[in-house]
This record gives sequence, structure tokens and C-alpha cells, in this order.
Amino acid sequence: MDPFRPPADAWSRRDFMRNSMGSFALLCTIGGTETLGGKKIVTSASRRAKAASPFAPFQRDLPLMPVLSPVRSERGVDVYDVDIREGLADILPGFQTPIYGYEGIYPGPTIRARKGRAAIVRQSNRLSFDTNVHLHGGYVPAAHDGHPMDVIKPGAKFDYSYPNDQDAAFLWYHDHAHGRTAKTLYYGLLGAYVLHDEREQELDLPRDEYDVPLILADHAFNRDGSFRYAENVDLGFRGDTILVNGAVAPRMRVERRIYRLRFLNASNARSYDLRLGNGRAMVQIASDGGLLERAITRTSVPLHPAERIELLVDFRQFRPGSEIVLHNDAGEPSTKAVMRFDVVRGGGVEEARIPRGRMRTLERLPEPNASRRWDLTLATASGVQWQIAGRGFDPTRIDVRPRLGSTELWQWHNPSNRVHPMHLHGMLFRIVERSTGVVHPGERGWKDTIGVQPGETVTVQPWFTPYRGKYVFHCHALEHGDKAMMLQLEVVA
Amino acid sequence: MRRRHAVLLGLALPLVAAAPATAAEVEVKAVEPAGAEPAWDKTLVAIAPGDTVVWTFTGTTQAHNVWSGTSTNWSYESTLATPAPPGSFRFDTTGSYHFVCRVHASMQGDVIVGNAPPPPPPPLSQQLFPNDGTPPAVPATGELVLETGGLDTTRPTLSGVRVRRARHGTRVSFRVSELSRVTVRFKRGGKIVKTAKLNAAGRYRGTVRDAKRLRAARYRVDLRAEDVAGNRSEVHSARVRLR
Repeated sequence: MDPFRPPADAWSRRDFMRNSMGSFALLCTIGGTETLGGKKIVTSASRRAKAASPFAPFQRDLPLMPVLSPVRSERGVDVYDVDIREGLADILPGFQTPIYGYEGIYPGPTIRARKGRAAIVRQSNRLSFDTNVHLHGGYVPAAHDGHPMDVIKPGAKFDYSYPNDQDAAFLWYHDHAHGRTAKTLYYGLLGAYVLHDEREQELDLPRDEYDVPLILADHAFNRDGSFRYAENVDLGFRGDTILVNGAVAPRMRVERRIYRLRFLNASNARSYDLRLGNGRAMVQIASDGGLLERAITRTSVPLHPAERIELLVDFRQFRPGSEIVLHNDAGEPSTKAVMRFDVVRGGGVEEARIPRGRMRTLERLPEPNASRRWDLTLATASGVQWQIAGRGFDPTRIDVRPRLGSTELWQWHNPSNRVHPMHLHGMLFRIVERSTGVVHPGERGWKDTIGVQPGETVTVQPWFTPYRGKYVFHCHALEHGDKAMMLQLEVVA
Repeated sequence: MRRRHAVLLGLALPLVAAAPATAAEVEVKAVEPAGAEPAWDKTLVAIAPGDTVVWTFTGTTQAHNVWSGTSTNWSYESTLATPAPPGSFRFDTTGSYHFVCRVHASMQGDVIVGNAPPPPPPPLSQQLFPNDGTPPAVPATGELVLETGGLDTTRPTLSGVRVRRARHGTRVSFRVSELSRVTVRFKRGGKIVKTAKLNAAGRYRGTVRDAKRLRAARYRVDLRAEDVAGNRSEVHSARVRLR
């Protein structure tokens, strides 16, 4: 395996630019951006100087990831072509941040798929090291799941085949090559995968520009504007800046309509507690695995790494001109502001509605075949390793072999003092019990990731379907997963 | 090793200058500042040959230790724990010795023994660009303003309501103060006999069609507007005689 290097390594030249061009930057500041032969010229230095602070929240409009178009569609299958490569992102005003990205952008392009219509995503590795792609939350055959040891070599390609044979859900795709996901996701290898179905349409949920994926991630920066990463194996990485869709705490113009806001926590290890304005109501309609049975009104929404939650927010209730801040009550002063909604006039007559009745009926699960307990602990005897049931990841060992179509009761027991967002690949589970209290109605739908709190025991019931083969389950605090907090299961006939 | 000088170059010179030349023991503390990466309280320690450096972890809440990492000129690792017991090492040979925590890449530092030159400044790509977290909305207090504007509780108003018989129904005209859904109710003898809903903003003039042919009589017509926030106007009534 070629060694990993951060994308910033290729850009040391910018240090020289910044140091030696300081006086030129000052000149641009004084001269403003107006003249120079009557033409408007905006230099990066002047933009940098004009900004209140590159980190000031609500200075930029919310960017939206481009939607990936299929290169061709044949026999009911959409074929996509993606290059995994280096790129530069405009995150801080006046700086360019080197990233790794699908199509060279951060976050990667959004794939919008439909239930019953398969997709093939051809991923070409233009990086200098191994990578692969995991469709997080997807029912995907084992060979296409992005198992940590199934990698695409530099210069090679792989056609990931996604059957899309599951109910509508907000999935995401990201790198999963073994041992360095903390770095590769941090430097940009992730994107949204939105799976639609007919049920959503029947429910008249908001569509098109009123259906917005929002990817949250905390970052830190070096003085040249590059991403700053410092490994923290215990707590996991904590950045001092919140990015939404790759912009520092942006603002979003919203009409007086209902919006479907799809939140993904793509942070390495940070958990959020999201609240809207002065405790305004948000209606949760979906979790990781798609729609809940019934919509639930909430004023506070916890979101652990890799979890998704879909909220309907009715901006019709606010006066035009209102500015409503979505904030993270679990944050420090610099990571409290997440984004701001600026309510504007117009929007016309609303056609979407907030579902009042039953949205979906969840399948009855077969009786569990077995009960297992997984202790989540930090081992410091030789080096440092996070373990599940006293074991670290070993790709040559199968830790559990459930039968296809069966269910089991899995107890995540967390005696450590860190949150562990436990994720199961290729399958979904339901939460049965939390030792800390009742399972919130917003968590009673299908899940693929669950935040297990310090001191807590959470019982989940995975359903080992629909494919046989080797998958992994692991902690999605990326530094934990990389430091071996991952086991392997094989679903057998 | 490229990241080895990532932490606070600015502290370097004062520390070198202030280092006690005769001290036999120098303490380096692990600190966990709120909202920032864990660090050492000193990232550069200048000592004389034969002196000892003691790394302490009092009050820390994460797993730490001190480790020589990838250094080739010394080898040491203290116990990793939460909180960790102190680690110590006696440096007898002149030179520059790098230390790090095995768990936290942000905890880097150097011990300079004797007259070894201090490490060169790190490039900008390895210097922290900190977010001080001051929101611009109210710089005076630094408090985040969670909401301005707020809920729309203003009722829409209807004015100039007129209702006239027309060829295929009833012509309704009015002015509504904001985008609203206007409900038009035809009543006869206290009973609602027909309801129509219209979307309107500002001046409106239109015909409520009468496909079912209301019987010829005198009707009371009630209009009420409801804006997008659900605020309702007062009911305005007019009368019309249909034939």
C-alpha cells in the first residue's frame, strides 16, 4: 500500500506566495476591488482582507453539491463515472484548501437514485494511494460494499453496483480503505447519496429545491488555509470550525415554505445537539434507514457521527426578514453556530405537507436467534487500540457468522468515557433498549449507526438481510475505527 | 517528522532564554484547553546535560503518555493511562530530542540539551490558524443571536370586499394585505351551502363558479383570509341575490 500523504503536501509553494506577497496583499486592500483600468478585479488577497474574519459565521451562502448525471442509462441501470482525485476547495475567503474529493470537490457530488432502478458507479482512483468506496446505509452485495480490505489501487477502477432495492433513505458514500479513514474523510472523500421512492411522493413531501442535503463536519485550519489534522485516538478529532456543505457556518435563503432538511454528520468524531432559533419545532420524518412510522415533533436533535436525520421545517411560520440560527448546543463557542436560515418573501402556495398519519409500516422482525454482548473499551497495554469484546480488527478472522434472514440481539456495552457511534455495514437494525432511558420515537425506525453514550448499554436487533458475505461493523468515530475498533461478520446461508 | 514543530513557535525564544541553566529537573505539563487540541504547556524545553525532564498529566481526562515517537536519537515511552502517571527522562548528551503523546498528534515538543540550536520555524501549512469563535452579529458580547424577526403573528386584513352576481357564478373582489388563502362561504338561513378557496395577494377580482346552480335566493357571503403562517383575518360579509 502506498503511504498516505495529506493533500497539503503538494502545495508548499503557497507558503512562499503568502510570505513574499504580503505587501502586495496590503496594496490590494487599500486600493479596493473597484479599479485598475476600470475593470473590477477581485484578488484572493483583497477578498481575504475584506472578510470580517475567515471564520465569521453566516458570511457565505450555503453551497449545494452538484447532482451527478449518469454518463449513460441502459436497461434500467444508470451508470455514473467518478474520478477520485485531488482538488482545491474555496472554504475560507481568500484561501484555497487542498482536498481529496470525488470529482475533485468537497463534499463530493450528490447521487440521486430511485428505488428499483440500479446504479453502477465507476470509481477511478487518481490518487497516489489505495482507496475504496462504501455506500453507508445501503443494501449492497458484499463485493460492492467497500470492505476495508477491498481496495482500488492507484490508477485502477472499480464498478460499484448498487441495486437500490430498499426504501427511500438518505445514504452517503465515503472512503473505507483500512486504517486511515480519519484522514481520507477529513480531507474530503465523502458525498451524499439520496435514494427516492414513490412513497415519498404519495406523502407530498417537499421536493426539488425544497429538499436539501446538509453535510456537517468540523474542521481546523493551518495559516495557509489548508485543513489541519492532528490525530487524537482517544477523543477523536475535534475541529474549531463547523462546515456545512463545505462552507463555514453558512446562511441559506429560505422562502416561506416547508423544507426537507437532510442532515448528515460527516464529522470524524463530533456529536451535535441541533436546535433551531429559540427552540422552534422541527418535524423529524426519517432516520438512517428512511421514513419513520410517524412524524415526530422535536426541539432538540442529537446527531452522532455518520447518523442521518431528516427534518421538515415550516418556514411559513416566520416573518419575512427573519434570521433563524441552527445551533449546536453541544458545541464550544466557535462550534456553536451551524448555519442560519434567512426567511425571504415569496415562495407562492405550498403544495407539500407535513404528514399527520402513518408514513410507513416497519417490517416485523423474526425472533432473535442469539444474544451477544460487545464491550467497547480502550486497550493501552501495548500501544493504543480500541476494542470490541476485547478484540481489534483482524481481516483474517470472522468474529460472527449469522444466518441470512435471521436476527440477533446485540448489546453494545460502553464502559469507556467516549461516545461510540456503532455502524453495521450492508444491513439495518432497530434499537430495542437503552439502559439510559426509553428509546426516543425518532430512533424507532431503521438505523445503521447508533451513538452509544459513555456508561450506556444499548441493545439493537440487526436483520441479516438481504445478502450473504463478509461485512464489517465498527465504531464510526473514525480514529477509533482506524485504531482497530472493527470486527468482521459473515452472513451465511 | 514534518509535523514535529507544529505547536507554537512563538514560545520558543522566551523559553530558551528563561530556562534555568542549573535546574536538575524541568516539568512539562499536559493540558487540555476547552475547544482546542490537547497540548504540552511547554513545547520547547532548554536544559543542560544531566538534567531531567518530568512530564505530568494531573487533571487530564484523556489517555496520554510521553513517547519518543519516530525519533532516532532517543527511545522512551511512559505508561499510557487516564490520567497517566508522570514520565521522566534524564538527558546526558547535547542534542535536540523530540517528544509526542502516542494518542495525540497535537502534543509535540522538543527538549534542547546544551547548546544545540533551536528547531527552525514550521511552515505556514503547519501553523494553527485558530478560529476565535466570535460571531459578528453582536461583537460586543460574543453571544450568538439565535433569532431575529421571529414568528409571524400579524393577521392578514381584508378590505374592499364586494360580491356581485355574474353570468356563471358570483364575482368576488377584495384586497388582502399579504399572500393568503381566502375562504368564501355562501350561507342561506344560517347554513353553509357552498365553500370556495382562493389564493390571493393584494388586489383580487375573480368569479366563483357555480356549477351546482345554487337556487335563486338571497345569500350571505363570508370571506376570511388565512396567511401562510396560519394567521386568520376577521370575517367580512356581503350579501348577494342569485337568480
